[in-house]
Amino acid sequence: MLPLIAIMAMAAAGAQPPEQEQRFGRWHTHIVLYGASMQSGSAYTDNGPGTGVGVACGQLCTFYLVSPIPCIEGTEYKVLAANRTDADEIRLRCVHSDVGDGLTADYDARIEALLTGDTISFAFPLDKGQFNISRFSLDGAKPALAAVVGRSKREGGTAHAPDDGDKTPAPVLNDTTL
Amino acid sequence: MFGTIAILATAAAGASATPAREITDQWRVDRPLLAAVQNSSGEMFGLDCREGTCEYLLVMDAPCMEGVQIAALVNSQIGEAAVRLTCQKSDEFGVLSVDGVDIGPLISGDRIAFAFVRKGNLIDVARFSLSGASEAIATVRAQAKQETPDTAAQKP
Repeated sequence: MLPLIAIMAMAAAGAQPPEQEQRFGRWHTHIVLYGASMQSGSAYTDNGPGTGVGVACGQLCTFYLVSPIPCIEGTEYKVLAANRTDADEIRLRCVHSDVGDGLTADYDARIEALLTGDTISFAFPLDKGQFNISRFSLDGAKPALAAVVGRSKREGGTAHAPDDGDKTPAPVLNDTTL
Repeated sequence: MFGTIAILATAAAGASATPAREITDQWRVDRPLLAAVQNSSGEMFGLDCREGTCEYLLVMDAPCMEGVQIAALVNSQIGEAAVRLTCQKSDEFGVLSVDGVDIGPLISGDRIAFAFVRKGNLIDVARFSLSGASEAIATVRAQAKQETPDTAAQKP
């Protein structure tokens, strides 16, 4: 069964169920093929049901963050994102689907840079001066993103990133409300 | 409880510490012109006015690299804002100014929180009560205006 996050990503990309799946460390890819080309794809990781982060590509690529925190559809949220070397505010727009709420943004160089290193953390502002803090492993993110984003950029190329799926998975990193 | 960081913040402001005037059991006004609150983790948030200019400060219980800016989000019941925290002074504690936007409009409701990267990529949150904040801040701004009649400006 597809994880919620993958279904959501595919829905966002306007795609059919995936026909090709791979695992890269703690990251996964789902790719829908059209002939030998990628029609749509998603590279993602999660911390369990209802949480996750990834990039979904059709003709364009979209970054998405899924959390159990409800959001208002169409509303733009300021979120603090940080990896080991950098931190920045990113603006994410709430998208609702049949399977849950997600926050999305165009996948640009800024987000690409934040998705490097070993972990990425997000602080999502809640009501009454609280934040939801989520943290995700980036183990396997590089080849997973290469397999989807890189392939999208090549518009149907057939090259695949090397599989590092034999790495020991990192511990699950949980959501926290502070 | 308020002592160490309040004295530190006062020292950062370049003046001697004098007894605080308590506005509530949380926000206090110190001489020179500092309205501040300390949380249970020993961190401090307040408005510091000097030479006609006021700025919001965070005093953290860890050193920072002077001059370095870090991204942060501020959140209260009013809303949220993206800011930059600039390390102004560091020894045992770090004194950071809140730069980028005026967070004054966010100082309303029960509490305010700052999310920022403390070490590595660990996002941490510092939360402060806003009980008594409006009165304490108004007191300090009024005093600043009296002492420098042409100003009462706020650093953006």
